[in-house]
Amino acid sequence: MLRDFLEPLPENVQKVLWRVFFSAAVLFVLFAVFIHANGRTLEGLLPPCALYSTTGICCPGCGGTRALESLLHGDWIQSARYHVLVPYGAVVGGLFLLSPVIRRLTGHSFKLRPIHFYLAIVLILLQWTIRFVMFIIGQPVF
Amino acid sequence: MEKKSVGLAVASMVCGIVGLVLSCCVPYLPIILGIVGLVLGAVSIRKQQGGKGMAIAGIVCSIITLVPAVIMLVAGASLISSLGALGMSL
Repeated sequence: MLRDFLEPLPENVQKVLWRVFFSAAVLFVLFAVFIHANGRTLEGLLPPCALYSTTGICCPGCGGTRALESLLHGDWIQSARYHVLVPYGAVVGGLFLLSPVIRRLTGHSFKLRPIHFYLAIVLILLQWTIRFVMFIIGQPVF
Repeated sequence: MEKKSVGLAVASMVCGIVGLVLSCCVPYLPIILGIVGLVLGAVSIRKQQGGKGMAIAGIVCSIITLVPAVIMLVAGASLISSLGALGMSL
């Protein structure tokens, strides 16, 4: 059971995922540079969460844009407070994207394993549950 | 023993996770990702390919993505039609 979680994904899947991650990273960087060059922010560009603005209940992605903004400004702790998946994804995705360089330097490469995805799901659902409980007891969510 | 492909299961899980994260601010993409994740996960399980746990995780994430997105879409559509019936617009 534990071996299924920890065994690296097959090489062909790793290759496809690397291309997907790389394309997403390039698109994100271009998008971020474009909107900052135009004097705007990610937060000001994207619409507010419809669920949060109508009901006050957070959706699983709430805080993600502010977390990205914080991460772009180098504030990892604030980023984790807004949305824990953003710094987690930056670390795991960054290591994965740099895996060819890491392999060249150390001889060992960083491979994606099912546990990385399961952990991401657990983090999202855990944060969402905590925010829902805070909403129920009337505490500020952010 | 021949190793079973886990590609569909991983794709389903990635669609589910991305859909969950984007369920907030991007209006229609989570619905598309949720449906794609659900279909890929179901196909992976039906074809008895590898990574059943990942396929189930993908299906669960896709459902969690789809439910609020569809509710908000239906609520938005009914609000717009109600306003239209009253002769108002957003």
